[in-house]
Amino acid sequence: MSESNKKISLISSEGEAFEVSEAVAREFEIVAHMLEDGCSGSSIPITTVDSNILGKVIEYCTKHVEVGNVEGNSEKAEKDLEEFDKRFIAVEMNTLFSLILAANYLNVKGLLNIGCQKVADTIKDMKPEEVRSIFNIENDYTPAEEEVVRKENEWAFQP
Amino acid sequence: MKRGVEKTEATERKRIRRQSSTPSLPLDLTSEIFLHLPAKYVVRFRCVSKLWSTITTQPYFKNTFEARSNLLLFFKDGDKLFVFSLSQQNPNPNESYLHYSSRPIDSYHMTYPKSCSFTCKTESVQGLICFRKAAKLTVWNPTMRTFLNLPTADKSWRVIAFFLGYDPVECKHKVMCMPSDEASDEASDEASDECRVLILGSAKQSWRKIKTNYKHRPFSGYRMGVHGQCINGVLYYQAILGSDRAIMSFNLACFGSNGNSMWILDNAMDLVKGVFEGSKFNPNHIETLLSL
Repeated sequence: MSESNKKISLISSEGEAFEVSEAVAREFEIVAHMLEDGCSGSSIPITTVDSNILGKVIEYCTKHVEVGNVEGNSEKAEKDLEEFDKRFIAVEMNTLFSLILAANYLNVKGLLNIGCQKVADTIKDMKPEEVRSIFNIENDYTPAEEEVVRKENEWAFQP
Repeated sequence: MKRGVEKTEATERKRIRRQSSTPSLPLDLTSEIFLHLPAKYVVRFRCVSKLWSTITTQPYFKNTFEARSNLLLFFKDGDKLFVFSLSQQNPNPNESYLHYSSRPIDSYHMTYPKSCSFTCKTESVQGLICFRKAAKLTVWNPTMRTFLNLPTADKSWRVIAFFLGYDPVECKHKVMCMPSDEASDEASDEASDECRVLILGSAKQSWRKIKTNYKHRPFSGYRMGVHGQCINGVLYYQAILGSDRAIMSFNLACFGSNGNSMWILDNAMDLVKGVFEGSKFNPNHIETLLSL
């Protein structure tokens, strides 16, 4: 069995095993480092990520490895990947936050980037109250204090 | 009995709320999301909570935020200034994404500031750009859309050379300026051993008078504007020293924003690798010299 065909099992927080090729597992930088540090075990526990999210992250990495393996990265392949990313990240806020947390923990930079961009695009035109509810933030300003912040940064509140 | 029903309702409400609420993100990820927003929205979200306001006003965040864009395009049309800020950095160098490089981080237009002249050659330093109109300096922050007019450094200086630098230790921008008569190419009376330093963002926005060990004049070279570069808090610029041309170095870190301590002032200004003679100055010489 050649090195690139080696399979690795990633174990979710529920104990479910996901068998992936080493190339896909290496997309998780945290796993890549473990492998480089001589961690020879073929199963790696990912205790902070549940099956649902881990499955999604693996789906993302598998697609990106596939496209990366194609000779001569054509413009069409890039466009396809872009489309894939767009569809992949079009999920509920709950899932999106979980994906960001997982991408950050597993160190999958591309996914972290599109995840943060998606949140940014979504909250951009929201009112502060809506943003507070999404991020579970209590408003700790008094109305007067909030007014001062608005006044100080007036230009930013113009449409 | 009634009480029991109320209790169940309350628990139910709580359960629903918990179900619909998103997992909370650690602060570094919240900052990461802010880095994907145009400045306008980051500033707008300062009114979400005191914590969010604190995150986005910290020097570290501000510097990362302002350094995101490394390509700024702007033009003037009538009395309007149009600005586009782009990033050429690819967050994932393994993938050559087209849309990362083509999507502007920010774009806006504003009234063209009369105090500003965009004609002189200047470079952005860690998110800020300094312009000169006669002997008046203006610092532009294209991200926060502000123009800051600096006080006159010295009324007796007709023409000045200015250098905007960034001190990575103090996380502050500092401006250095000196008299420099572009009209004469000879070593002239304009040579000076005095300069002024102003620390941006400090409470007292005033120039500090600095005496140096070298009587020299920043060299403008063929009407190209004085060329200088800031590397790791040290300014390097071309100058005329006596009858020779030289590269001067000026350590901005020697001037702290607290107090008037100038503890290593004697070493603040120096010559880089001695004097060199060259007919036409090439900015690359700075790097060549540094790599010697």
